[in-house]
Amino acid sequence: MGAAFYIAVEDDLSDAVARRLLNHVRRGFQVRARYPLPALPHLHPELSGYGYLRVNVQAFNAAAAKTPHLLLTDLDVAACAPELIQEWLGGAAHPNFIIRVAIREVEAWLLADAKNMADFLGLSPGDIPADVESVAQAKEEIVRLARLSPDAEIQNNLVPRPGSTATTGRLFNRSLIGYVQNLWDINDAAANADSLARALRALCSFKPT
Amino acid sequence: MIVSKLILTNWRNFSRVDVQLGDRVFLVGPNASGKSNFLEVFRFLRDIAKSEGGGLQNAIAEAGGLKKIRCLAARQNPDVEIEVHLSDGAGQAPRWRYAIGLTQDNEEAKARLVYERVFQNGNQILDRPNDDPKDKNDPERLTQTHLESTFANQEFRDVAKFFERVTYVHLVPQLVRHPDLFVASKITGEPFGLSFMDRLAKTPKGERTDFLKRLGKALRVAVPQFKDLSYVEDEKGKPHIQVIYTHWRPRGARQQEDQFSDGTIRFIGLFWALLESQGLLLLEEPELSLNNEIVRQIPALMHKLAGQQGRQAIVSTHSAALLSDEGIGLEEVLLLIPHSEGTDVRPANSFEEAKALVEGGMKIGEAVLPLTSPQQMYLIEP
Repeated sequence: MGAAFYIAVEDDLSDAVARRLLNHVRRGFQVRARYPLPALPHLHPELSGYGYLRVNVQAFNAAAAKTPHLLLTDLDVAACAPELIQEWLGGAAHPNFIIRVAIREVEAWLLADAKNMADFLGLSPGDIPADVESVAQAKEEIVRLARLSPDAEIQNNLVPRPGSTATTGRLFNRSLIGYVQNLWDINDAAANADSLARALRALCSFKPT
Repeated sequence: MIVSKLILTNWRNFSRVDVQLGDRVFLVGPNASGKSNFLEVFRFLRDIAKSEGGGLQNAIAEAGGLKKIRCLAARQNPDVEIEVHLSDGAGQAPRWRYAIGLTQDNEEAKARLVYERVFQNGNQILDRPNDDPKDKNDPERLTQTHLESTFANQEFRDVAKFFERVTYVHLVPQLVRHPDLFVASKITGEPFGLSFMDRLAKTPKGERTDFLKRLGKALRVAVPQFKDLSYVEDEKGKPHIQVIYTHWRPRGARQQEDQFSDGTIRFIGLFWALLESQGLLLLEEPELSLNNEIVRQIPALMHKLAGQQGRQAIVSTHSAALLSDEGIGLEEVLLLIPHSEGTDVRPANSFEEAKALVEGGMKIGEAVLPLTSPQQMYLIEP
């Protein structure tokens, strides 16, 4: 059995992505625990998304000395990944601490497998943006694409109801988690998303101390 | 005195437990990991020791029979064993050690003692059946403990008194509101609320008035519309708690417990238990129905009210809010980790990763709860 990781993620979708990545490299990596507690952002709304990861990155770095950690976050508006890590951590990460940054959102990694994403949405691969890492808001892009879908179920699950203040449909995350688990081809996606390819390389070459 | 150590063999879903306990203990574990079973040991000892309707056979019957008590994972060693150390404070040498082993020869037979041992300051003062020829000649004697008998427990009466004072609270608001609607199989010391109003009624008047005053003050912070919390009896002599609910009418409206919200009733029950408890207080998920801002205060209240003068509180919880208090140490948290052979109980400070997370600045609940929380709950389908 391979190393048992603590994973630190922004949400359930990143959780599912992190688990697939760990599984994909076929080194027997397990997930021991996921941080934060999924319900935690309800207690600390100010710490939702990357806020929690940023506040606790030093704690993860310290705990990495005891057990491997994988932190997965979105670059969002930061300039570049090394700068973001430097800004959060103020130095180098412990060798057991893998920090990977999706450019610019983890949803871009899902778009990067254009063929399967198109099948999933009921569109043609030409509808999916080619340079996914330059899409500023990949999640919104998926919602936008879902609006074009001829598939009523996709519309229903991914697109917010008319007049709603919600930014996604009610089953957006669940539908995309299903996509991640059943349809997403990681190798094809990595060929189109360099930040994903580098994440895979980091997991392949990872040597726990 | 507090329970400073608990050792269990084949109790419910624990094949083996050996843990130190402080004056405040937080039990954390996934659903069905055995948090209630852990607390139940102390209720079981209370049921043996209590002067009214107590005794080993009653305690076993109340727990559903020895077959149910025995750990499912048990194979070669089917005896159920309980050992409790009582000390003046956390980490201190035990003043008392009380230990029993239980077995049942067949389903028709009564459960009986394999042994009953008492140590005082390290010296054994009871060793059944070895030092008692009567136990050997009359097996029926081993269906009763000396703990339950005022004649036999004279030399260790303090232990019996300690167990008898164990309080367990797990209020079900519906039962407090409408006790008449439920068939009253009023178990003595019934914790779920059927007899909550009776308990209030039985509290000596001076103490009750004092408790209600403090409770009213606390409740007013939580629910500012409530004032003048008082104890009243209706024309049939039935006890009630009453508040004035202030609103736009100048005099406000009277409300009694049957109109209180679940949260209000649970707040009252929790606060009352903290005030009333004289020894070991067991609280089951006190966060239920309460606003997180109230829940966050529970650890400090436990310390202020129950954690003084040698009192002790053990609380089971799923709540990150409850465990967000910075005054909680990892050494106060016990993690219940289920596996195929039953559940392990380990102090959270024995997890190096959790320690590193906390030392790195993470709050205790945030560091520890993910270790025992179900993963990938997003996979649940209706």
